[in-house]
Amino acid sequence: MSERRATVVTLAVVAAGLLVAPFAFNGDYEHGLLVGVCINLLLLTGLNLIVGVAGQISLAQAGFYGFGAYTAGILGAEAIGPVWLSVLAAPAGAALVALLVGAPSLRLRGLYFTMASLGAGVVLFLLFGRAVSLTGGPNGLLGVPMLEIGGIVFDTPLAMYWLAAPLAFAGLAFAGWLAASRWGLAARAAAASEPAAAVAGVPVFRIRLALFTLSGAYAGMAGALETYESGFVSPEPFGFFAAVTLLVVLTLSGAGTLLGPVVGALLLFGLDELLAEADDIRPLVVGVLFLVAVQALPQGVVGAISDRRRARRERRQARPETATETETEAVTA
Amino acid sequence: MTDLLQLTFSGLTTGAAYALVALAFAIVFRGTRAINFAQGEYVMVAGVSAGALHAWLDLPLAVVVAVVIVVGALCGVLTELVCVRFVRRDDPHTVTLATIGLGVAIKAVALILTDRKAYTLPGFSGDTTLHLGGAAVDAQALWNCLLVVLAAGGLAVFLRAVPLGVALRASADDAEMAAASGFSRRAAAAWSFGIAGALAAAAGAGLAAVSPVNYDFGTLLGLKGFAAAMLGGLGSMPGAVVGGFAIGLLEAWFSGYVSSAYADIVAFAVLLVVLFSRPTGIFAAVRVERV
Amino acid sequence: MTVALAVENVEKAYGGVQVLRGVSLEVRAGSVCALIGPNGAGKSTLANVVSGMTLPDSGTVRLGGEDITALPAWKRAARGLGRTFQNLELFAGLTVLENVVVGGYALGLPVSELRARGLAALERFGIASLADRRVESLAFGEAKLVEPARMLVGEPKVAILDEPAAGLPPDSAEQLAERIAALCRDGLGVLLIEHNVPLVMDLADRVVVLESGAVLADGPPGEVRADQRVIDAYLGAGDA
Repeated sequence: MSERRATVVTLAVVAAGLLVAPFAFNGDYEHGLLVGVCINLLLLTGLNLIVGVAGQISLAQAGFYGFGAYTAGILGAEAIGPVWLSVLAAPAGAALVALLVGAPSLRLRGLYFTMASLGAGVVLFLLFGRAVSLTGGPNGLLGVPMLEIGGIVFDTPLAMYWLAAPLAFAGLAFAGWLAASRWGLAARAAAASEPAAAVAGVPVFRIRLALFTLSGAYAGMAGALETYESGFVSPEPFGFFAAVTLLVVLTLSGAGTLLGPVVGALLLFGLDELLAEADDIRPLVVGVLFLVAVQALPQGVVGAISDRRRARRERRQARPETATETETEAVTA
Repeated sequence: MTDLLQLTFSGLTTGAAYALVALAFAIVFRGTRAINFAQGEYVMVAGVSAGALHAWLDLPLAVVVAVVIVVGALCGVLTELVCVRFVRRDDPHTVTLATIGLGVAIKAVALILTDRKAYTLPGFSGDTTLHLGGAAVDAQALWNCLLVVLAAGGLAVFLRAVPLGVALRASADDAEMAAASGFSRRAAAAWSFGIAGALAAAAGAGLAAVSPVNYDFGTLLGLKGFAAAMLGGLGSMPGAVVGGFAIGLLEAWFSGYVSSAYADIVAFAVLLVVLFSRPTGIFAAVRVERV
Repeated sequence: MTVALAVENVEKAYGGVQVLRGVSLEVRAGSVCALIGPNGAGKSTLANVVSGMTLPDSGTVRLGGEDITALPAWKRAARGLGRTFQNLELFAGLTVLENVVVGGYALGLPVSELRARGLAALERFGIASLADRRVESLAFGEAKLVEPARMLVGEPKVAILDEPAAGLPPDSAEQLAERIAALCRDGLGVLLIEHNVPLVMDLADRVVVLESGAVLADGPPGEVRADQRVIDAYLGAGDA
């Protein structure tokens, strides 16, 4: 199956799933959960752009998520402009923050970038909790109004779903297109070998910055949806642990693949639901999963499956002398 | 003036803890080139265990502290087992990420075991408050600073004069050579993590003697200790100590003169400034590649 | 023939060690200028300076007359400078075709168009059949050809080839030399860094000998081959 066909099939399946889901899982509570899955999908798709495509491990996604959530919440609660404006301001604002953080951070290589993203994420989280007059502090922001766009009031979870699902799908489709474009290809190449990409003409820093900014936009959009879905914003979901969880889930599900964020969104949902009662166990599970993710499946479940398929294909094609001559040093990471 | 002095002593107290944690980061980084993000949780485990031990068994303080330091060292060795050996790839990047996962897991276990309870240790010399230059200083603050001096001094001696320490230092400079002369990379890693654990434990015990500690206080502390290590120059021991006290003082002064609500942000603002301007830190010990 | 690439008086020191001392050389369009010399002479450093991976302490690099000394590496590619690496720098995780397609990034064409060009480039090096293979699965000899193919997709006017024949068996090296010669006939200017002296003497129009960071000799192959200083420093009397 060619890559393009695989992409189209994947998107078709996701679209079908999104269309059918609210009927298969009927009821306000279930619809609320589905909105949550769409929000997770946006978050992970965005994270996938910087982690999976550009190959830079970021711990800032939860911070951008929170920035979007608070932007929408504050603008909405303070009735600054029409409500729909706050929904646009969230991804715009988060993207701007990502741009500001990324500009100096992406000049740093590998682990140092991760540390900078960690620092930025923590600063954002602390700000959410300490800027009490603005954000309501640790107790949260109240008074978020009902979402209203062009006369339509989104007063049920189902209504929110019909907003969140198309957004999540569009986000996924766009990300898929971007990953397959020459920019996506260039970013993946740069992740494998920066010097080779540079001499090939790839503006490595600029591409990474663009992807990082986009990841912020996705997170911001997710934040706005979360705010209007729950009517409330608090700092908890945007801290260090949340950032780690997103990274773990994406890694386990397949960073760098189209299906990865989808599997990840479902995995996150599963984690939340299964451990809903045992809230204390959740971090333990995530921690252990991280240790597994880090070593067991570097490219995640989806990546490992596609790898096995490809290896089978290549074994059929490979000539005998090639198999014995392969030198692993020939390729640099 | 008393305010400034008061804040300064307060800054030195927390700074001492940051310095110990930063030293731990430096040791692990030198031994493995990885960053041990579980560091903060060792401090928490030590502090909580010390408090719990003291509460249940009523052992003499010195014994509790000694036990806890051993526990810390064991935590370190556990980290090496899990994050280096259990993980199939032992490159620094993967190990670092693994320590993040381990840290999350350790904190979760602590949460489950302690059920959010807070623990405390009595001050090492009782509840004495000294009055220096008009400021009221908890005697424990001086103990903590002394701990840093002992730790830093002890490490310096260890790395230069004790055969094992010399081997560890050699391994940090040239792992292959050291391995060839019998000191394997894994041994170096195990010792580095173990020593780091012991240092963190000392910090934990020292902090528990200042104010109550619970399952939560390690994470932010660890991250700030990391910021301190970066400020001083990752891998540099004097840098770690200087960085630790510097951040402690900056935090205290900021808290007193600008805003106490935002004081926690100071350490991370410093981290970002260091990363963006001079990633090698004050005592540049390692070259950081830029794109 | 026009001067496609000019290096003027480049100096570079690393931590107190002078690696390049006033190095100057010229690469003309449609010809091969070979750079030879003992290990540590500064050949790779010079390659890095010319391709933009390092900035020189002083001196100029001109591409087709334009001063590119301070340009970042990726901008030089757009202006027609290509480069291959001594140690294979392949994009692991991507297919062979994807590897070479990236070489055309600066052309601003969509991936669909670049695929055709990529296949053509692979064809020129005889490895078109490997297009959909994962690049890590290639044998060394095949893998070595991916970088030059990638470079070709970018339509360079000047190419820096850093030991392209290293590790290749004699017949593959000869084949490579023929391909390089063919590219020169099409107008490519080549700066060839090599240890394979027979190959160099056969292929090059001009040979520059670098020793301890300074140019020891610079002239046609026959002349350089016979130069006593060069023989003493590098070639040796009976060196193959």
